[in-house]
Amino acid sequence: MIQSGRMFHSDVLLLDLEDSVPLTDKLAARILVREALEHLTFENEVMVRINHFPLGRRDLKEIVCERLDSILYPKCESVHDIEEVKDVLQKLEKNYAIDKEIEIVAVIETAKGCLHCEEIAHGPRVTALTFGAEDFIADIGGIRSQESLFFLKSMVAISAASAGIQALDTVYPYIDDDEGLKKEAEESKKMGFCGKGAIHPRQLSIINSVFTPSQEEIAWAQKVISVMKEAEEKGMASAALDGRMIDTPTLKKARRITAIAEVIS
Amino acid sequence: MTLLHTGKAGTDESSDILIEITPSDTLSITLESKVESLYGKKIRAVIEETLKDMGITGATVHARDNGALDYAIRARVKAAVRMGRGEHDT
Amino acid sequence: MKQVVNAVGRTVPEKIRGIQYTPFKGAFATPPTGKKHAPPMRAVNPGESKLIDLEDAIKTYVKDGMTISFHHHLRNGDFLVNEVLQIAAELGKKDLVLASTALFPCHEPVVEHMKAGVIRRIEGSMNGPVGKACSYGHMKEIATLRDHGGRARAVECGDLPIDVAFIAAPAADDYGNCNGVYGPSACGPLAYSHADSLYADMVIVVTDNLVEFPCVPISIPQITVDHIAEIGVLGDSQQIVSGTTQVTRSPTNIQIAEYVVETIDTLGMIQDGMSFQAGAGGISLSVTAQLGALMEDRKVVGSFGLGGVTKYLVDLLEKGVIKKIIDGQCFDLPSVASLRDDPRHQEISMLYSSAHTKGSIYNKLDLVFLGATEVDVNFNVNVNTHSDGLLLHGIGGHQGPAASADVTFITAPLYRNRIPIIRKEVTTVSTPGEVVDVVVTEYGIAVHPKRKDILQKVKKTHIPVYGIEELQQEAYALCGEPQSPELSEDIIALIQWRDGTLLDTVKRVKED
Repeated sequence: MIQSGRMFHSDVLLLDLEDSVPLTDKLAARILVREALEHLTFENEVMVRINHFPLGRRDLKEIVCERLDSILYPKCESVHDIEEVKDVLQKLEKNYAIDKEIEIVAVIETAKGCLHCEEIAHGPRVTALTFGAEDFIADIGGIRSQESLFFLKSMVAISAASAGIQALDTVYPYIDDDEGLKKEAEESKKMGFCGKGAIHPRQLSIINSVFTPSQEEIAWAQKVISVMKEAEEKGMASAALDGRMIDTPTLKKARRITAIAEVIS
Repeated sequence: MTLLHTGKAGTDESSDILIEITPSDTLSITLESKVESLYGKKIRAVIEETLKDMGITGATVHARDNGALDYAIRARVKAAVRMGRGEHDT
Repeated sequence: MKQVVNAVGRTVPEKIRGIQYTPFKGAFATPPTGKKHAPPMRAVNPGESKLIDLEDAIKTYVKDGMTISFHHHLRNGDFLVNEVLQIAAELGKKDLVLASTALFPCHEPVVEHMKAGVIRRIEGSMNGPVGKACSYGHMKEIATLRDHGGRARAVECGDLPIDVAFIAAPAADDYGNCNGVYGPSACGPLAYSHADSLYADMVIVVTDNLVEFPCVPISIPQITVDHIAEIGVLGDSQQIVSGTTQVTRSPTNIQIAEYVVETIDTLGMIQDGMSFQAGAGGISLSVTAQLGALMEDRKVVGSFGLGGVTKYLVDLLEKGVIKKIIDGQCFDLPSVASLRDDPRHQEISMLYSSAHTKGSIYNKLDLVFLGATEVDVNFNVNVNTHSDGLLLHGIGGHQGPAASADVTFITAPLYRNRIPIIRKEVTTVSTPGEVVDVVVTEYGIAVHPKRKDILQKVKKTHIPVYGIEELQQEAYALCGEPQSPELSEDIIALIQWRDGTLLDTVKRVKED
């Protein structure tokens, strides 16, 4: 139950009101989420996946409260979808005297959504993009594979980067396949994703190990920063490190690594 | 504010409570719980309090508990009442 | 009844059934006195047969009021206890004392025998329906619960004199040499019976697999056995040992196991020559598997692993991660096969668990990780009663390793089905807090204040460390403060510490 989820030290705890809840149970589910938000303590960021509007309006009316950090909004197809959600959030935050701005994480899971990724990423309150593999594959009439998801994943990662927000990888559904999970997470990291959803707590340590900068990476990053600082002082925009040319893009990568390392520690 | 018909919420799963509530003039609560000897009084009190907060003075409540915490009990009672008042998504 | 408060703050009687009891004074505060119990000398001459019909054996040797004993290596697949009691009941035997090393749900017929007066008292562990019946007051006399080592000690010193011991033997010859590693009802060691074979007045081996003399290996030797009875089936092999034991998949339990292993690592205990007791519970298996993987990774070789043995421990032996296995109980087929075939896997008598011998096996343990039904803010552990007061488990092998290992971990979720496991006071003290070093829940760990050495080391890590009161408060904040169960003043069972002193009592629960 919800109370167990709290202790697994994930960065975000996601409570679902959408696909895992049958229509007949949605009312009870959103009331349960509200009670949990009001009476349990959570260390992690708390995110709720609401239903796509219009049903989602009822979800928000019920669950918007002080402890809610973010909304996962499914099947985003345009920035208009985001603006709709933002309007409702704004109204409810005012009516309930909530002193925060609840964030939005947009899920791209249709062909149309994929083609509107960039505008969605730039939408108000959107702090991250993610994608839904199964729905997307169903929408395009394809078969799930690395190839068939490549374009979607690229669009998500690139759009997120263009808006300066995070790209989050989707869940790996095979709970006992540690190797497969690691491989998929590593592939996503290469593409620019900075985190991944877990469908079971035992997946957390593997995901963290992939996305957390290693000691070697941090040491390398610190070296890059100091070497580039020296170069800058000499009036140069590039330098050599370990037999390789490094310049602004490398510095940007190094700064990202140290920033993540700092947040984690 | 009164109940129109039966409202039911919750499941028989571990850590949950199944609440069935039907309109009545008086308030009666029957509880089946594995933790009766430890939390029987508390569970009944939470159910009563929640009903009172919702303005329900009369109802027949059947509760089948599987170790639900207070927040879940409150949630299931609220949901059952609201369904009994005609609220639904379908 | 005169009562005193013992060293763990529990009120215990001074005399029961005319026998004087010493209240618990401290984990190692009561040394042994006196000599060992001695059964009568007997001779079996050439040409004399020891074979007997089981019913004749019971008819001849079991008299009203006697103490009869059994081991529980056949676990929930045992047929023998029920069969012997059924025959005894049909023969009109009354007021027996049942001294089985443990009882399982399959022994539910014992409840009827208790109510019918065939059994007046149980000396030993009780699980499920028998414990419940005892809780409701259906046992004529007050029962005594001991841990495995404590029972062996009691048999050896005469506190628990056994009139007739029935030893279920998966393989036996016509002279009584027997073992538990061969035969359709193979179960592993016959450790629990060993003390009985030495000290019972009459020893009857019962087998469903009579083999040609001599039966080797010899777990119980012929020189202690009076008679051998052959029956059709000793037990249900599916229930004796499971085909496979599985590591827990519960995320909560995996988290707990991870914290245990991380703490062990932080304490610098992953070293060549290390030793630990494995177990068969969900969390213990997970710890064993994780610990083994870490040892393998670092090329650390342990000196030995102590059973309960499962395939996870056998795996470590076969990979060379541990050098030997010392075994008092097997839980699955791979462990039985390993005991049978691997000379590095050694069976020991349950006397090795006794506190009053020239050194128990637990004295050699670095680590142990044990479960709990309840733990309180004084680190006392309850493994016997549930929070509603019902007696549902025996002590098992808890006290010995807890008292003697260098570091004792007690693992449990913060709460289970709304019932707080970490609480203000345990319902029953099965193991006193003074021997507990670290309590591990899914929230984090609590270290006993006396272990400043451990506290210092774990504070430097990212393992969440709490005061035990903080864990208790968290449990109560989530679950609410539990009501106290309605217990009567009548004592239905005694909890003994491994040295024979009285640790606690179990009160009768009002039946609804």
